[in-house]
Amino acid sequence: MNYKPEESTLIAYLYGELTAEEQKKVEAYLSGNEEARKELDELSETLSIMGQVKDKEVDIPTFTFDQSSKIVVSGASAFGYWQKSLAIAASIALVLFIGYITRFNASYDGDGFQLAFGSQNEGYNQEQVESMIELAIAKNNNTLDQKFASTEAGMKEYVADNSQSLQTQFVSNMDKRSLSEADFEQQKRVYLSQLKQLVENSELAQKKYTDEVMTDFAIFLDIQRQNDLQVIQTRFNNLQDNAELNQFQTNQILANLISSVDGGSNQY
Amino acid sequence: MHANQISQAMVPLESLIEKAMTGDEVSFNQLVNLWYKRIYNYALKQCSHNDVAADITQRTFIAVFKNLKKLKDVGSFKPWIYRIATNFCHQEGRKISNSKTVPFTVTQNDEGDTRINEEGEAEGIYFNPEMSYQQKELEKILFGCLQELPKDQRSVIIMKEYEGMKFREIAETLDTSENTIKTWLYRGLKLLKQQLEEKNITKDTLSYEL
Repeated sequence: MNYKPEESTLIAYLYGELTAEEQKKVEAYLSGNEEARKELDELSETLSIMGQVKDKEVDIPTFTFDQSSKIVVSGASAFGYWQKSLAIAASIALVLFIGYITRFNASYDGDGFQLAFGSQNEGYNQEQVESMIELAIAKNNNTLDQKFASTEAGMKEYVADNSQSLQTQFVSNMDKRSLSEADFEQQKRVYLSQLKQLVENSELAQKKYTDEVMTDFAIFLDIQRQNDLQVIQTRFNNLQDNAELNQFQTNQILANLISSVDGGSNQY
Repeated sequence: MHANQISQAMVPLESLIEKAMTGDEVSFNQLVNLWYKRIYNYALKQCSHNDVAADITQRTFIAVFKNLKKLKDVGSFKPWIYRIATNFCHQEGRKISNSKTVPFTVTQNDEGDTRINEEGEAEGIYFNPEMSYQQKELEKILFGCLQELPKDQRSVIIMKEYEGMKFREIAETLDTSENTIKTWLYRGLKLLKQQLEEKNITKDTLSYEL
């Protein structure tokens, strides 16, 4: 039996898609060829194992199209794989761009690892570094000395200025002091004279006032005495009048009495 | 009966495609509803990556909308849409293998899919407690095995085994002869068998585990 089916035929047999005649031929071949049958069985088994993979559920989006034939997909996961890739690529591009802008430079050689913004400079050896440090220290010392000297000069100048001004101030203060003593004496004299005048004035005023009061009182007394004298005069006058009246009345009565006595005597 | 079902499904599908060809948005979205899950699962098995698969699926349907008018025979819609999806998958596959940044492993951590957290428990809106840890692990391994196949053999196996396509349709999709398709399938299955043996996965170990 020289018939050996092709792989494609065996597959068609596996799926039962052969014509009856072909199927018989293949079955005959397989019955006489245990190895081929075993292999085909194994392939069938493989298929059934692969059949364990089930369909996954998925959200079905809605497609809408506007007039410019732009397609909008809604309802699906908005951030697709390619967008993620794009985002990552954009980040990398940004980093590279910034690196380019800042002229970032990294290299590794026998001396070590170098990072630089801009061009890399070769490192210095120990002597160069030492001389640079010495130079820097010398420069620094020099600057410090200069600063110190200038500061000292400034200080001296300032102290001199200050002492001078203090002296002048002191002298002027002394002058002011004597001046103020004279002032004080003068003021004192002024106050004393003023006080004296005040006392004199007040004495004078008091005297004048007292005189006036005494004069007034004398006048008052005089008027009072005259009034009293007038009152006494009036009393005397009244007394005289009364005495005269009494004399007259007495005379009258005496007259009457005399007349009555004369008349009566005649009758009797 | 199977053929009967297909022919029944094909009649409205064809009229749907014809309507969608005129630019009818509703018909197109109905078409999307019919095919989105199939294309997504096809792309997922091709690339083993949720985000990439979702992206490929979206791009496939955008391409379908743009080029639907160029489709001469409405009956060849199925091979046509799978061809578009396959092209996108192979493009992505090249990108991924060139960049070597994304490993060929199943990552099921996106929302809308069954997730496996670190404890190996499924979570998410499609949470299914019956789906055991072993099942998920097995799928992970099987996805990994598919990734190791040459792209043509992988495409044929997925189309035949998971998409239930005829050899004629697969040949049309990949633009080659039926015999070549069958040969690719045979060789692909042999490679898969070897890989499963290396990973010590046989029907016996499975029935013990599951």
